[in-house]
Amino acid sequence: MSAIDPTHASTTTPGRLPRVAAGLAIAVALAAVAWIVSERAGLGSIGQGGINQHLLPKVGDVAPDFKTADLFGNPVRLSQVRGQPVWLMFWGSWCPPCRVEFPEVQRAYERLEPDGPRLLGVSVRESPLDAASYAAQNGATWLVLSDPTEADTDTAYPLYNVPTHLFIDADGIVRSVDVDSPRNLARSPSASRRKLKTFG
Amino acid sequence: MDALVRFSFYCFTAASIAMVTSAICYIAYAVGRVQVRQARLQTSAGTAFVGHDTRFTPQSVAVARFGTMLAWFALAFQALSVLLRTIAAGRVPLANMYEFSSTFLVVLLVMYLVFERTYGVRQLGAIVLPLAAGMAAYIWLLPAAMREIDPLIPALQSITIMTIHVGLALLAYSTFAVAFAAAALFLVATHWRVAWLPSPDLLDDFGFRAVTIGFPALSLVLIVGSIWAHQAWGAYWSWDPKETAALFTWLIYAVYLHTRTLRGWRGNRGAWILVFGFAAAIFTYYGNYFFGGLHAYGGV
Amino acid sequence: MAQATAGQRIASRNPLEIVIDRTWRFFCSVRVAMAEIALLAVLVLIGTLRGSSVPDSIAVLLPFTRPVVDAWYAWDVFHSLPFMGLLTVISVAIAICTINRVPGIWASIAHPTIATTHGFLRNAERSGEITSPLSPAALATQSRAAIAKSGYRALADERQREIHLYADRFRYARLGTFPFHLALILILVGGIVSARWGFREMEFMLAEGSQRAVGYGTDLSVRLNDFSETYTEQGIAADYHSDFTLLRDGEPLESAIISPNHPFTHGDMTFYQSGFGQAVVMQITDVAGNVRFEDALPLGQFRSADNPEAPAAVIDVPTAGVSMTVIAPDENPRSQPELDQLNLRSGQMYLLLRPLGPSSPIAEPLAITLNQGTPVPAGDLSITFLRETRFSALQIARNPGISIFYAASFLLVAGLAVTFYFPHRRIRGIVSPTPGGGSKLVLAPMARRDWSGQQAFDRLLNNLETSLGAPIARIDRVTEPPAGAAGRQHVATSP
Repeated sequence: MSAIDPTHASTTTPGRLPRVAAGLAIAVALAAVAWIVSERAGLGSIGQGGINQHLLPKVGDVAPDFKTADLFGNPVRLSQVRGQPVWLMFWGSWCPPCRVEFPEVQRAYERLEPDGPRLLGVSVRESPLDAASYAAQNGATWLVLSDPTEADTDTAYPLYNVPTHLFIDADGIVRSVDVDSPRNLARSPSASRRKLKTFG
Repeated sequence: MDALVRFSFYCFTAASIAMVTSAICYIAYAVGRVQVRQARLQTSAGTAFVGHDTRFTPQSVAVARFGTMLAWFALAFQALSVLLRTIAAGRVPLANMYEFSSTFLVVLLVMYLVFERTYGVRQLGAIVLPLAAGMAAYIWLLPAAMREIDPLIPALQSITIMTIHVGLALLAYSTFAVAFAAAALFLVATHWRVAWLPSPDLLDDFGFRAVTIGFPALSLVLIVGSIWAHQAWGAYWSWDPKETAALFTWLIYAVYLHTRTLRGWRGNRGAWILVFGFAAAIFTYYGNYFFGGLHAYGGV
Repeated sequence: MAQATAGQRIASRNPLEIVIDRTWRFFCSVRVAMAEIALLAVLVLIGTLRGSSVPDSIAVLLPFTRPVVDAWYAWDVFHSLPFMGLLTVISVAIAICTINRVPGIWASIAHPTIATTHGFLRNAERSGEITSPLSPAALATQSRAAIAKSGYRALADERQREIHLYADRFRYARLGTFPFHLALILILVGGIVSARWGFREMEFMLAEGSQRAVGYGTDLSVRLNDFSETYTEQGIAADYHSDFTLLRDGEPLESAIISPNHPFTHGDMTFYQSGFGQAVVMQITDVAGNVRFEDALPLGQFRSADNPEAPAAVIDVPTAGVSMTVIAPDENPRSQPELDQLNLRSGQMYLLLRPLGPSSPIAEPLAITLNQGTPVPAGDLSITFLRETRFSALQIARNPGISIFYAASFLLVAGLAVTFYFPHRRIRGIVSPTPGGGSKLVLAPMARRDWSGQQAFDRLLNNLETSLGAPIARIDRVTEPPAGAAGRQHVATSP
């Protein structure tokens, strides 16, 4: 060893305890400086995004109310249908996945109808006319709402993905949030029964 | 969970400060004390310098000890940062350049400190710690959105194999960084014959030992990557740019090992290959910036 | 004299022998091998950069290099003949180089040279010296036993009243180079086997409810029962999977659900989930009401020639005697609206129908805008855009080389581990008689400029000291930097 680092041996080493204490003090100082620097640099908001960012109401939450219009411009509130289970769908005829699932949504709705849930399909990012003509062409029998600029629903239901489906029970509690298609509802009887249970 | 992500970043801040101060200590130790003596000449117009003479003398080892302690603190904080993020994300953070580089710092510091203890030389810190500090600076410059935890895209949803593949890559990169430090110091030591630098033989061996860890690790990266590729894409080799860049690096270190063991290329030539190999490793590391291809996710 | 006879022997050999000898020596040369690997590295670098914008930046910086850069982008290095040729040469070189080293390595394992010289011991960077009142033979026996305790094999050979010692450990680790190099060749062999006897269908697109033959000489076909995808709240695809059935001659064999990273294997074939997209279900009926065609066409493999934002599908329908091109509405009507000349609404498709074959029911190409669910007559046919659906893109591969690759991987890792982590350590020594009737043993490692080897030697000396119970004088000649002056020497006796 001595051949490698001659200076090692010549240094006098202080006692163990003071060294540990000094080391700890430096570590604490480091942490404190880092904390102050981070807070000053405005890093306090880190952690709010990504998987921690909650946009849509969570399962178990009360579904927030909103007021928008139907295809004729009549105002419709979500709370108007409180007391009944609600299938709330956000869609647009401009969105290919929405068009793909459109027939299945209709079929699933027809199966569920006797049990009494209401399907509110809020068309977003398109004119009421486009929504109306596509819905009519494809024989939609449910209530089509229109919120072209998302001005009415964006605060409570910010969308990153269309279609988005929420299943809300009669008490207004969110039972399921599906950021995908509910086509299994139409295709598989067991899946629709399972989903039906969420209606309380 | 959001608090964990924030504390994780604060720990990274602490680690960054520790790395920068540690780097300064190590550099001060390796360079030595610089004494500049100036000879003055008095003229009627005032004082004019006519000459100066620079002398290097060894720095006290206490400076290096301080650097080592700070490097250990940097490791502790950085490991805590990665640990908190692992808990918050439910997986080892390796999914984007921010996470990858943060974890890389942990592996690099562990690798360096283990080598420092084994060989009892502190001068290499003057190269490794500035590299680590540079990496920390790079992390600070990454888009802020990467500091958030994003869900894994389906292509990466094979956490075990991803952790092994990427973890081994980090191990390989950090050993190559250590080997590079040894090679660079070797070149300095033989060129200027600075008395307090470690013996060139030791540096040469140091570099070789690092490569004997890094080369098998890189081989495993390629193999595990191939097995994963076979599972995910149906072919174990696709001539994807990141694959071939890794292969390029692998070939350079293969040349190093063969020339060293079979032709006895020690010293200068070996050191230059190590420098070149590290350049290739950096090129592979940042390859995502240059090419698209199958490894394009998680990069930029 | 000996040289002269050797020369005559070479001269008397026939030319073929000389060629073989020269070729062999060419491939054996480490220098040539290094040149080959360096050349390979250069080609790999060229091929790697081809996938980047680096060459382009060079051309921007130095405009006169533009033709070279264009050629660079055009050259598919990794599938080029020179690259394949180089890989072949390297494989041959690896094989020959490695075979050539067998006798030497085997000799050093089985029959190492025990004899050494006093010069070697004197010039070694590190050595240890033990003086003993015992006779040379007794000291040799004693130290051999002590060395063997540290896990070394210790051999001795008596010559001219001196006993030469040779000790080594991990001698079999020298064989590690063989599995490693064999593995490299096997990996290439695996690649060749896969390329020759395997296949890889990259984009096997299949719409929901559709069935398609696998091809490649198999009698298998695949039916996609269901495709579904889920997204995170942030709109990122979280998962997608295909539920499909494998059929042989129309008979279902097996059903499976695959997703990225979770393929399905049937026999030697593997099915991978690779992507998904939009598809359109079209139906063609004739006047009699018979369905001539009903299937989903994946959109997106083609694009409208006028509007790259409009996905399209092209299919020949020989059962109806027509060829169909279906163009879907612009995916992003707000960007570059001037390109969207078809102005399709949602629920519409644009159809171009061309006659196919001599007995086509239509005489000339037709262009029709279809509304979903509404049949449109075209000659004797009636064409309906039934609905939109999804397609799943699968990858199907047969990779017979994969087991070779796995075996090679194991050999490669094992070979490397043995070579690097169990380095062959060798020590030489001489026991010589001293005037007083005693003896002296000088030991030195074969570890020139090898710091770790010298450390291992130091540890061995420590062990010897304890087991022999006698002090060892250590000599450490630290070499100065190359091209330096004479080595500084300091002798230290351990306490």
